[in-house]
Amino acid sequence: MMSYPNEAAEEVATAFREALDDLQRNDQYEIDNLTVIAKESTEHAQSICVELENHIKKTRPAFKLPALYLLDSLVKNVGTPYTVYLGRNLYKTFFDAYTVVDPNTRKAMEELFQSWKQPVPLSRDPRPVFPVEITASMDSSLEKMRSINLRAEQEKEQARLQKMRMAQLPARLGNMPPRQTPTPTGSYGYKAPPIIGQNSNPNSGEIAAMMNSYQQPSTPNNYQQALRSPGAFPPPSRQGAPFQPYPSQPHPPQQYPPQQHTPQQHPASTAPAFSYSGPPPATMSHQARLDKLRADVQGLLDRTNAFLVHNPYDGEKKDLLANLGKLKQLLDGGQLSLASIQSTEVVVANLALKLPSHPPAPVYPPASAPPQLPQMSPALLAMLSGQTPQPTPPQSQPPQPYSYPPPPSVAPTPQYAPPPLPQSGPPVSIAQMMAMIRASTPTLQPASPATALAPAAPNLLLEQLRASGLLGGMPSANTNSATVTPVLTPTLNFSELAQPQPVHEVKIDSASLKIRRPQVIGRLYGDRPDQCRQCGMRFPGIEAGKKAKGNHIDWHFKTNSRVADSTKSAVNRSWYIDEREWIDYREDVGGINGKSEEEINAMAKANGTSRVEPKEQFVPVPSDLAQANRPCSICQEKFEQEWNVELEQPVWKDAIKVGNKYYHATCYAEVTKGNAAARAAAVAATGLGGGIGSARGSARSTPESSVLGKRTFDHFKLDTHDS
Amino acid sequence: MSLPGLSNLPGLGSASLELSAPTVAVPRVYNLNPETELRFESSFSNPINIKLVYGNAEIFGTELAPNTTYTLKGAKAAVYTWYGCRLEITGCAETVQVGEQTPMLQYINTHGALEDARESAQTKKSMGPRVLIVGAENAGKTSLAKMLTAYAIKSDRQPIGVNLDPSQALLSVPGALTASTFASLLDVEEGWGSSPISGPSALPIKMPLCYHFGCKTAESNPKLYKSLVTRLALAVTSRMEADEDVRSSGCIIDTPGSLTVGENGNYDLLQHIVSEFSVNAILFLGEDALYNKLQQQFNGPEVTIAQLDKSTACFARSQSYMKEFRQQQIRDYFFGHGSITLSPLTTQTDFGNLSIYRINDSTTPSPHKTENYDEDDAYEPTVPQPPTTTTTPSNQIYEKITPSNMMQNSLLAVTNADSNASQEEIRDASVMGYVYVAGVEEGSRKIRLLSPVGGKVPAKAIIWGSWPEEVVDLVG
Repeated sequence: MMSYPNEAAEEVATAFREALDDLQRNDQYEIDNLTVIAKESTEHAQSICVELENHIKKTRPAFKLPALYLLDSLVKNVGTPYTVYLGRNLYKTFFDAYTVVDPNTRKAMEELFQSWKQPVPLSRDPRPVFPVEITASMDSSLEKMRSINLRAEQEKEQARLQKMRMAQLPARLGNMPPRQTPTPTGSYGYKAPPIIGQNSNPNSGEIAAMMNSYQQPSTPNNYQQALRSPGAFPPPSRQGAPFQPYPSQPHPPQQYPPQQHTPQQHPASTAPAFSYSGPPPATMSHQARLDKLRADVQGLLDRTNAFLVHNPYDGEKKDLLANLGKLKQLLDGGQLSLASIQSTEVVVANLALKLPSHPPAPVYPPASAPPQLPQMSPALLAMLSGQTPQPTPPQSQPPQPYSYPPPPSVAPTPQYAPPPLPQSGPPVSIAQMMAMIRASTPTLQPASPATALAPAAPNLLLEQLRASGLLGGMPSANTNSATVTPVLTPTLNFSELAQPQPVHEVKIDSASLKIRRPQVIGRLYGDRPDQCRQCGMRFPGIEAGKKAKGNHIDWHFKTNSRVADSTKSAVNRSWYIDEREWIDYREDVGGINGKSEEEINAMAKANGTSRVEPKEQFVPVPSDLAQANRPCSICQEKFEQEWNVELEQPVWKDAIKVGNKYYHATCYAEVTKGNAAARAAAVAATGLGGGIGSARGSARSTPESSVLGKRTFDHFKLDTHDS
Repeated sequence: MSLPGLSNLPGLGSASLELSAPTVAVPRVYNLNPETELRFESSFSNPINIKLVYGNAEIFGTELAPNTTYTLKGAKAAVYTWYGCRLEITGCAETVQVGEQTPMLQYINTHGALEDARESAQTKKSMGPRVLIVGAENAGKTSLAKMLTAYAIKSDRQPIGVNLDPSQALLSVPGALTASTFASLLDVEEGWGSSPISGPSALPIKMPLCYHFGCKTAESNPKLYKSLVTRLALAVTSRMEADEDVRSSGCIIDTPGSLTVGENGNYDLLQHIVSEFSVNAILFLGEDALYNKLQQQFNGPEVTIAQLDKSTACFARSQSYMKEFRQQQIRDYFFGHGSITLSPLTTQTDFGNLSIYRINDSTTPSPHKTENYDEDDAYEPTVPQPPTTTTTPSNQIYEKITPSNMMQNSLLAVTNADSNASQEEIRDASVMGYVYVAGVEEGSRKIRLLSPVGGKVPAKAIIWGSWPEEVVDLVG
């Protein structure tokens, strides 16, 4: 691998690009996966960054945000060299995307950007994610843009009101929510031809020709015809109203409830999205409009392609595809006048209106409103992900569970992707890894947010993340989980195995051990249907199990971020603790066993074994301003402040003052525990070396209560004796 | 900001190249029927990657997470499925075969029986089952121990795992006798897990308690072996008394296969272990006439003994494999395993700063000429010597020595005993860690050590045994 750096880099880049193409939603699982891969391929960071930037640039607007989240994840979780590489083009990457996405996405992007000016959360590095030189210019541009948008928004609103009053085109209103109608189309009356004459661009003739062949002038009749012509309508069920062919039916201006912004984000899925993403000409530069138009045309191309996948013999669409291709070339190649841009926009908007009515509603991935995914047939999924469809139905592929039927969740919605049987990839493990990930995306897409999020709904950490926008943009996650969760639970009907049988009554004798006892197995599997996807640990299906799993996932999250942080510093094996400490040691069951630290503390207290838990210690906030702003000397994080009613003054929670320094009480307990271990072993240097690992658990240990704890070492000494 | 190439960026070295090693790209898919297993072997240089695509599966009782790739290096193991599964395997596996006949039913029933005992121990607040696993070499003792431990963890127990087999390590290096409480998932890739490190780890660390035996077989120094067993048993019992969760969970003891060699086995050592740990259940693996004898000896109201079929997933392990396996364990101790990369430090110190004691080992007096010994010789059952309660100078456990070239490439155990402690104190002291002798310069009286923890090597009594065998290429 090392001997072919270029080839390897190319393979990694290709694989990464393919994985990126599948990143179509804010899928935490996928993003984490890609982050890990990127982290493990830092030698190819440059290629990966180029791929990512290109992807953000080229992908359709709805997919830009997930990719930006990936970028965010890379720079925050991996840091150098990604920060360096991505920082170089950050301005362009960010604003190229920013200009073409819808307001919701913009908001998310703004939040993302704000976080880049801060240090990485939980990191000791006080520097911001990206250097100020990069973010400062972006900041000012963003500010300008926002004020412009605000104005644009107002103007658009006025235009909309005006147009509603006029109510000239009921058909159009029915098909295109007026709120989202672009100003140009409204004011130019959808007439392209007059513009052609004014156009000095040599290409304009071609454009005009194309436009003529696809443009549907403003008469409602034609329009309807266009909608109907190519074939049967889908049932008007899916977001039905906008696509209903009845022009006279009035529609309320708010067609799209804000939370269902998936279709809006996607310029290609519905016509409104076009106008939606396009700021009016008054405020948008020529170049920006051109860019937007390019993106739109690209979106149309993609969609037409998607359509053709399912209707490969639709000649009309094939022609359209060819024409779109030419149009794209023109747009990419030459300078177009404002007028021709405007007219092309009209054509594109009309085309966009036409397209979505043809394919069966949930066919193409852009519309990946997640809840619909599980309903797609595996064959479709396979086609969408570019794989050969699996000839055998997936249900028959898993080994048949004997004697009990597959659970209902399997039968109607085979939830796992057709397995990537023959991967004809290059023999590079990273590429291969990504291929696997990609292949499993159909499974993971519906699954991962549910596992990751749904059971952890009470989970504060994730809530915070969501609130901070890091997990934003996935409003469907919660609704999703309802549909998806059954798919996740083990696909075996455990209830049959797990008959309540509190005692096994197995005897340890050779005969009794050979009797089949499904309930013994069931207690390990069926009684614990809820599995952690990260480590495979199982939890009972009952309420307590859910809570435990929430704690557990929280623990994974914390641990993973700690592990990620620790990669910067060298880690070494610690000295073992000595026997007395070992006897006093209590295993660290926090998280991994699904217990939260609070519960453990509560347990410890119930046993009367702990005095004041470090967590409950507090100190008054120092009056010295310099001191008051100082973080914990150990973990370098700020103290949490709260008002203490009894003291009638603000205090720092979980804090302790030692000498002149302030520490988190928990940090201090850990470190001093570690030192105790080290002292006992008389380790001169590296007090932390013996500590941290052992300290995490032993901070909760109960030194006073053990049998041997009070004995001296001599007392503990044994004589040799043989029995 | 211009960046000419990656090489100029710090931290981009070979840190994460290991992952790109596998050469076989196309995953092979195996569909396993319920209650079957997929046995596989992989070498140390070409790991095997296993991914559970569908269903559920376990390796030595620890369940695999779905869609997670596990990389197993130098493994001889089996993926077992109770309900059927589909696996994807990549990498060079030496052997992969599906097995229909397994003793897993017996094993899980054993777990069921132990759970019953734990259940009642919990209500009575008494001690849970103390299980001793006995069997010949390659019968699958460690596999069974791991499985029973994993099932116990799955049942929310915290059993103590005890390794009394010096030929392999439990969370430590070979030659150590170790106990550890297991309260969190075992590490499928590493086998058991990781002992404490100075940073965080994805799976919770396990906390071992080690005593250094330093001889190849129990029989080669039965007196020391017994002392250490006693010592370990005392600590385990104390822990069980002090820790309620551990008490009801009991302990699972793995023994060396050499104890079953010979017509009567090493009854003396077995008897010692049974009484020191108050064993109340003996699991005998495999068909052996010895089972009947042990049954006569031990079966009674206090102790239950049962015979279990040998594990079918156990491959014959050659001496060279076992050697490589041990060296891997030593390497893991210093450099970490899998995703955990550790950075040990080399320190140089004067001879005078170290108090090194060599184990007086009558059977293998010259530890450095034992490269190619025949296994059978080593397992010659030794007649237990009558215990001598007083230590005379001629019968000392340890002999204080000055470092010499002989120590090159061997492991030294740093104990918790003071450097001038008595022989018994040194023997009874647990180990705080191991250092590796990277070089000895007799002329300048300097010794170069690879230490897991930086800084000065602690001024403690250090034991040099004949075991584990030397590792030649640990430090490049």
